[in-house]
Amino acid sequence: MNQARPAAPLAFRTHWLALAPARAADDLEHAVEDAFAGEATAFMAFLLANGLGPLWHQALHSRQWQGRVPPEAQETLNLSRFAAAALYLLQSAELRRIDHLFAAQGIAYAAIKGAHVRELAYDDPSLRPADDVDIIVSAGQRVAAARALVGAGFHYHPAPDNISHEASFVKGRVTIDLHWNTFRPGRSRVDVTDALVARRVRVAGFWGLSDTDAVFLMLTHPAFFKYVCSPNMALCRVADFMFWTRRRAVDWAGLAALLRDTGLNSAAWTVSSWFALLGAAVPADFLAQISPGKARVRYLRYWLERDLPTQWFKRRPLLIQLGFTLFLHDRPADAGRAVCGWLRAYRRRRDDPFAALAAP
Amino acid sequence: MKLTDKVAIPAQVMARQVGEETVILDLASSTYYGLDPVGARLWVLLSEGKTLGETCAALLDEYEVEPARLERDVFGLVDELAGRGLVALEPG
Repeated sequence: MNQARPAAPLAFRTHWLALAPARAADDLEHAVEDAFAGEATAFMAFLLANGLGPLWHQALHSRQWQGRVPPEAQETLNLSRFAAAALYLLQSAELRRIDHLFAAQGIAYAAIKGAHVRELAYDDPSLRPADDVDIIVSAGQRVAAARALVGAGFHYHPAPDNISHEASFVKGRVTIDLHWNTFRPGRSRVDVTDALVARRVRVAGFWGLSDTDAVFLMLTHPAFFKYVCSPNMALCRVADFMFWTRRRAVDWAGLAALLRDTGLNSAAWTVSSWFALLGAAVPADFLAQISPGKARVRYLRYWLERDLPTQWFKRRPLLIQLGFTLFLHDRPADAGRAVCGWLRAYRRRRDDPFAALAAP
Repeated sequence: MKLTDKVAIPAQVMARQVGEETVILDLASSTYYGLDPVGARLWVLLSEGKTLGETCAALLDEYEVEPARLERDVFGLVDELAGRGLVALEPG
């Protein structure tokens, strides 16, 4: 074995192999050998569950390495890339339609997360599957945006648990997640939704977040919605960060200021630290700038390095929420505000601003 | 169908290369189709505006195949694509 090769903690060995096509270090050859040395079925299932099938297909195909993986794995990767390309075509066509629709009605929006990031971070955006297209609007325009989507043939799917900040609209195979708060109200010290929309930039026929704001979301959203490294956290999001930070101009100092103002330093530090464990290049001075205190660093590292969010994800999710995600807020008052926000959202979960739009 | 004919790709049809294959999506019906590597090459040539004759000539240079059989296969595939509304024939 090559001793010079870097390695992730044992808990993330499969993650490390799976992310090889996205890492800057050219260790794909070793990853292919390791991943397919034994039984390939479990690794293939892991790749597909993490949205990395199309990226692996492209990585192998571009190097003419298809023969290095078993034929059934080749076929599975081929199918995953084919399906991702088909859904990408559908989603991007709908996004461009929505762009025209919203422009005509004066609705300012920005695409966020996968559907936005893939256009700028990947050689071919269809390599990055996205289950849905996330867009953000200011709270004041949420009803107009929802009405416009329903008018364009989308069906509203009520989800009371999330109605405080987002709602889903479905047309055929395309799902639009409409957000009017970046997080559940209370998660962040200040709501940055309007600021994110105000800083939006034009991207491939639609509006998207600025380069730095996109990283702000990459480092904060998964902290609370995916418990950083739980099985809910598809690794394609880690690949997004790896590609994005290599190709886009991120204002790390500005990002640190935004995190400080929102009280989300600790959340971003934890997600960044996990990304770094998987081989992402995170600037050391940025990490130092957003680092929580020494005791919390030790505590959060303990959770990360043992992958406790995954271990307790199914058996004790409440333990993750109380013992992990609350500690991702910078101050006790921030955590208290998040709990109050959750309680308020729970009490108001039947106050659906789009009730009139739901299909009977 | 004649060798001087061309095809036009309707606005509601989108295509994307996937390795050596191609995914074609008909937005009107949200139905997608796959073309194998030879079909994908034919799609590229047709979408460049080549006539069926020019397409056959290019494919003959690239693949070892009898001219008569190639012409039959090209006409058959174009006929199928046209039948599904993925291309429109433009008489030359």
